[in-house]
Amino acid sequence: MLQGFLESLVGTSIGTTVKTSSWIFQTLEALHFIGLATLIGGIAALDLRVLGVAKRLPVAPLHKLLPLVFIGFGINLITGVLFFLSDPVGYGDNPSFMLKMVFILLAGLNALWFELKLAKHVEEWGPGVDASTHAKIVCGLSLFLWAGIITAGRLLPSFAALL
Amino acid sequence: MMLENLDLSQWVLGSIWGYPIFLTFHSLGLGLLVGLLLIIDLRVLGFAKPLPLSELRKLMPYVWFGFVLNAISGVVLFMADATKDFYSNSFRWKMLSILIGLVVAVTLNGTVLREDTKDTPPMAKILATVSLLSWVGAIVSGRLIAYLSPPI
Repeated sequence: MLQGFLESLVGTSIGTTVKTSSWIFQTLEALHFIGLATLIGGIAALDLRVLGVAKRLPVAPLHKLLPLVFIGFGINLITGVLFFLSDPVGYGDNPSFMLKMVFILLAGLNALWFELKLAKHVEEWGPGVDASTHAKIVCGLSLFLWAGIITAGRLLPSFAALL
Repeated sequence: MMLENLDLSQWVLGSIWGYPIFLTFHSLGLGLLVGLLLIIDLRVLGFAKPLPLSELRKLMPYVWFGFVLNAISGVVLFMADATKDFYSNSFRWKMLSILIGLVVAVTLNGTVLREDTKDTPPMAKILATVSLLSWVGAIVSGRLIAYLSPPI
């Protein structure tokens, strides 16, 4: 079923354009890295503070940087979908791609958990105040998952070469 | 070039995994280095003012860690492809961008980030803007090394 779905996405005009253009793919890659830095910056700053780095930073204003994270994620979602459409079967068959998608899903659920269970406490974690152990676990997991996402993404072409 | 004949260079270039492993370190370092500098630069530009600058400065060791990670992985990637990189204009632009970004980061670290003013002076905002532009320039020119370099 998945194979049929992937094959149905082959040859879309936008996918073909990305694939055959001499400059679009590279430009999208550069944007994907700029998106990466934007996304990871907002996430790492919040996660590191919750874990106890630079503890005199109040958590609430760091949490308010969330729109920045969404901008980075939006850039990478759009550029990522365009990469995928340039070769749907190639990406779909790639274990590193699948791992990356699973990690993104887990990171998303982890962030949702933070929003639902922990966001109401961020005002309490002012300058010098230790965040809860619960929050530290969620933020530690977040850093681990995003490092995994970058790693799986970077290893993707090597898996493609192996297959 | 002699660098390319070292065992490490040959392994990095020849093995399926050598190059991507160092590229992975390079990308993780990029996230830390540019990501955290982006937050610091935005604060200097006037966003998120409740964040005290002197405390944001404590994130700088993580920025330097990202930089060292990228300097080391970058040297290894360069060794594997020394001739191509050395003659690549994109590579030269990247090195120039990094040099500017680094000088600005050291300057901000030694001046603006030591003071806890809510509003930063115009000179600080100019530096933060130059910082953002130089790291974007480093990323873009870095990507172009792979595509615009003359074939050897």
